[in-house]
Amino acid sequence: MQVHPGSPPLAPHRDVPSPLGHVMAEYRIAAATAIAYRVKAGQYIQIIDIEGSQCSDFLAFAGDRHQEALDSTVTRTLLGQAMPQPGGLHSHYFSQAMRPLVTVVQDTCARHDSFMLACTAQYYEDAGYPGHPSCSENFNQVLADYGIAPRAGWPAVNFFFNTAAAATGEITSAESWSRPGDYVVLQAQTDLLCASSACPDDIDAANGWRPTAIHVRIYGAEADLRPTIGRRVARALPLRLTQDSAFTPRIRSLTQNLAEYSGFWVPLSYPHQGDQAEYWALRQRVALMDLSALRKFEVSGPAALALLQWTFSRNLAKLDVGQSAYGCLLNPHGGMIDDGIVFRLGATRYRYVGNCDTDGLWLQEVAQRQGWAATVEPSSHRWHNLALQGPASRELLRSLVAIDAGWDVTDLNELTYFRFVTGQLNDIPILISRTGYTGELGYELFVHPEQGAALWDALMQAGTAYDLLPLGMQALDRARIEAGLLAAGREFSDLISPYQAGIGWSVALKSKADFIGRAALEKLRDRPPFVAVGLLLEGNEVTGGGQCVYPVEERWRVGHVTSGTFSPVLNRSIALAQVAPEYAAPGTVLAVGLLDGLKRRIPAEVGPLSLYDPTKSRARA
Amino acid sequence: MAAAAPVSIASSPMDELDCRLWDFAGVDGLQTAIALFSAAVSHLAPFQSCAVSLNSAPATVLRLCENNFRVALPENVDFRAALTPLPSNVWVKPCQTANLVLPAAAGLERLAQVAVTKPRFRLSPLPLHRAVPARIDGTAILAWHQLWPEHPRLLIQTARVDIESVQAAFDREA
Repeated sequence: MQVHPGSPPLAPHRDVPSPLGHVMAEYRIAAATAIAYRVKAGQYIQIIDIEGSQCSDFLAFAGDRHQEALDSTVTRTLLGQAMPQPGGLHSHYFSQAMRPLVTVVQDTCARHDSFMLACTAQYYEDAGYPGHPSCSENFNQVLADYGIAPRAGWPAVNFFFNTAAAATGEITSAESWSRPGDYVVLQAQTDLLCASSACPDDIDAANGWRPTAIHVRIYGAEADLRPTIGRRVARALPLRLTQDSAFTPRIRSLTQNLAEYSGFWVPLSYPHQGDQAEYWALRQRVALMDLSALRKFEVSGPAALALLQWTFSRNLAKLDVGQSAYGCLLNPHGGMIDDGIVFRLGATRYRYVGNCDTDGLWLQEVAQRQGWAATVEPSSHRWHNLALQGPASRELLRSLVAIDAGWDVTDLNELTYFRFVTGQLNDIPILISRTGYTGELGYELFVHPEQGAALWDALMQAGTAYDLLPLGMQALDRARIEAGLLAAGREFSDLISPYQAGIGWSVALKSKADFIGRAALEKLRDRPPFVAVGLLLEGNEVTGGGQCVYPVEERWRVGHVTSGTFSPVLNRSIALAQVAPEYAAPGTVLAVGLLDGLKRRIPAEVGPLSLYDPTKSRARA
Repeated sequence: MAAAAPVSIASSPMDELDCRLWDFAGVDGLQTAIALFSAAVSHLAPFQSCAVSLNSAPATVLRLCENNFRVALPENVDFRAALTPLPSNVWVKPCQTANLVLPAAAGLERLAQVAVTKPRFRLSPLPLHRAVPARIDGTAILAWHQLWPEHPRLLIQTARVDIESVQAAFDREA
């Protein structure tokens, strides 16, 4: 049913999510139809997939004669990515005149199409369905009233349409990822005429073979909707919307260059600094970064140790209270579910800090399956964390921190690598851990979110004497690649063993009895299919990851690059790679295939995984 | 809101620029910059600059991208000749922009009034040795708060065809 702009809704809609604010207008687009509607600058458009798996194509026109149309090609070009994303600097859809027309503010599906036309009559005709309705023809009909000339195919933004462009150039499509109630929220940047469809395609899987209705709501600018991206990481977990950490408001006052990372808004870099300056602050002085995206789980109870011994790669039997250990959660075939750190807080109390919400689910599931008296409680909402890293970090912190009574150490100088204490910093209760993700001397400070801003302010203020800089993710990535530190999805996954990822040392095959993955790891230990190495590349070209690695003058591959960067401190192009063990000896010269792998091959010498300070002397200092 | 105070700007047209600007870029751009100037160049992020010297002549080098640089040199220095001995894979050419030279304090104040930039950049403050790509009435400029040779100043760079409109924007009463 088409409801014209200004008409009140015919009935309350109970089949869609609750409104996000005061609804100024709402439209129900019947299956296989389209509507046109006007919005004013600043207003929000919420496009809701009511039943799931339903595509909704979108057009927008600015100008008094509707002459300035939204253009996906301009948008892709200006953004350097296939689709805008909420938040950050890549959230606009642009017109042919390169003006932003709409901004993506919220998106709970995060899988749309910007390459294809809205479906056309010709598509159905070629498939043997002459006369089949199409989004393009439906748009032609509703836009005719506004004097807009018909087109055989409209270059629309196709929300919820699941397409992907392969490296070979092929564009594939399949059933939409959207679930019932998934939505996209756009904000108009100027007065617009918009058109939205409920796609009529029932001849392939795009709409799950069954076209359904779409619901559109318009909110006023006063709704002030915050940017969020919805992510689904497990069937057992609800949709997770991007959140601020306790430090994000402070960070936003310094930079707008933020991106979504693991469910949090994180800074990429800071204006007038740039990642090089932030990087050098880290390596030479001190830098401050927000790592609250790490997930925390309290593991406690009489069987807490048994649970962690069964699931975690390290032997924790001799872990003291106040000590922590880096390792990984393992699956039965020896793959890495996640890497993380276990902190021993008390006799039967531990904290696991990793990257994924699913880590807690896994620990709970194992505890239940084994019938162990151990509880696993997510505590990420109680602990946000900053990392203060760099050679001056200890000196900076020493003057600020009072360590609580009861710990073996009374001075920060005595806090050694992978030890932690609790204390106060300007009367703010914190847990201080001598750990980091940079290859430098450094500390991680865990704080209750309510006192996060005060902690940030105190460190930034004290840091002025040391020329401290806040550090974004771009600089952090350079530092962690230099230090040979792993990133999920790059260096490890649940298909990659710790022996392949370069942390075989963390698997306690000798000192621990049976644990998950042990049988597989015993076999993988002797000859993993690949092993992690560092590569020093000849020349100054930088690899981005994914490039193949070859023996010199051979056609066949021996591995691939997982991460690459230019190392300022080494003044070299470097990479982390995983290569067949036969080619992993330090000093071996291999070739990294750039471009198509044939046009240019760059000699690269195998080195340690940690090309910067391989003995970790700086972190241990 | 109170009206912005008029800013007196004595702008210099491009032909009065008292230095010569050179651009160089390529896969070896950073290494070339390090070899020509110093390792300090590797500490620069894009849109940051520093004062350096080239064969005893004063110079200011601005990093534009990972391997892209702009250099201000005295007019009598042949930058191409300095590059010749280096086995580097870079191109070099005179910077083709038109330029306005403005006194730093007044220019920065006026810049903040007439120009807009993308959210990732900031025009106010624009510290010394920082540059920002911006627009004035839709016209693209690069605002570079530079030191030349020993004094801070604001250099506004734009396409030659746009120099008059950009100059007018700075000269008109706020």
